[in-house]
Amino acid sequence: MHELHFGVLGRAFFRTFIDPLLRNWARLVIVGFYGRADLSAVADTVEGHIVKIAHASIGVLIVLFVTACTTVDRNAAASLGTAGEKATQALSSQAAQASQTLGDLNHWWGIDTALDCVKVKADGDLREVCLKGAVAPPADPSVTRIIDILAKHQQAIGSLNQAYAAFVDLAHYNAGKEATAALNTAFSDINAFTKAASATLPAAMAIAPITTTVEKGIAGGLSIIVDREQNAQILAANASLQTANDALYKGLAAEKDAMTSVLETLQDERQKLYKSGFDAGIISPIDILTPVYNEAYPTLHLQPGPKANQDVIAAAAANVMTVQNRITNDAVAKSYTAALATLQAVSDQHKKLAAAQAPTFDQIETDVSNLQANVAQVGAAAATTPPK
Amino acid sequence: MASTPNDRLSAIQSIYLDALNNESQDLAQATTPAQVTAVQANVANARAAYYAAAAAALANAGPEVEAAYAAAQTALMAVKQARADSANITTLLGYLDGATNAGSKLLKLSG
Repeated sequence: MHELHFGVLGRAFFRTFIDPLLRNWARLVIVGFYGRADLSAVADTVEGHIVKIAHASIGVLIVLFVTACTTVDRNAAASLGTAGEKATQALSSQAAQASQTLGDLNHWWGIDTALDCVKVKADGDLREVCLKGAVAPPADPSVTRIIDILAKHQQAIGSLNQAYAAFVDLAHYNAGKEATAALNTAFSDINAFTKAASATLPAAMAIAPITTTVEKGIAGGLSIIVDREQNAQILAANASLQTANDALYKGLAAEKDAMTSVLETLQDERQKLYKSGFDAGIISPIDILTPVYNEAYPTLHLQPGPKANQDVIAAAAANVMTVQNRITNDAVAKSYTAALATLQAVSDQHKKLAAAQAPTFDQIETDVSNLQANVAQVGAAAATTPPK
Repeated sequence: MASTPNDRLSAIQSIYLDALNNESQDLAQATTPAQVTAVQANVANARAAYYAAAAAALANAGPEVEAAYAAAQTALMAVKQARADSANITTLLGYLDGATNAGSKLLKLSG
């Protein structure tokens, strides 16, 4: 309604005050050009064109003025950029862990399949047959595809992290070109990731590629003085970062079920690697039990124990592994939920900045801490530290 | 209620994890070279099906997929029952083969 009133009033203002001035000015131009003041049909047409051009020019000037006058809280923008950097850093460590473990799988399988042959009866040629079949498997193409998705996931998060760093610079000084370059890279990498993640989705749910508008925002501000141009750049970059965040959210949501399943399976693969080593006699259960005892009684030093009790000691170590597995699997599922919540929290603050409201960072900090705690718990399994 | 892609992935995952986590015990029961080879092949096949399922959408739905999903669940229960009953290795291998085939069929129909 306000816009409608503004439009009606604006037109009335133009008709009453601006048009007569423009027409008088146009007549002077025509008099100067033709050398006489009689307004023939041709002169009327020329006058009409001049008035239309003048209307359009005034409109453009008003738009540019309004754009230039847009205020941006640069400290808030810089803080949001820093929060985005922290959030993407936490997301990055989540992807890095999974990717590395998947890359190790072929080694693990090669070891498991050979060590498992200790269980085969030693008489006859069974063990020989077992070892013959226990060749290191070739790279599994499906695992390679999953690693590729995770690599693109990691790349997308890394370049978004760089885009946030550039956004902080843009908020502090006139760094439009750097921000544009970083955002373009982030958009390209996020598109590569969402395309790969879409392979785990029904075709109808494939994620559409995104495009940045930040270059247009920067081009639009060139005619304004530098300070005001920078405001337009910050708002354009803010909008693009929100678009990038939302696309990354969709990509993570798309891969969540499959990757959670894979990460949980990796815990079983890890436990199997331990079990095969233990069965072959190359791993001591004391190594598993020691951190747990040290947590309860830091000064204790565990002994290997009598040979007759090895089965009991092994069962205790297996129980520790099982509990660790449960805790880690729980953390895997929670880490994806926390990652999505973190991206949502950052996106919400982009919306606030765009609406000239003060962004708040409590929720982002809570979500980042939550994500870091769950990622650390998953990482603890790799370091075989005791469950807390 | 119809199964979801995640339900199907979980069914195929359970078949693989059962084979993986019991591989050494199953090998310990083997008394012939063919049984040793069958245990190893079963783990490899269940593994290939699981990771292929994780990298696929498993989005196809319909009565055939639901039947395959139900069959995969039933086949895994049969394996678990055979383990609980300490079934002999020949019987167990039959159930293991049945479960891995059921998982692979579910992957093929839904993927």
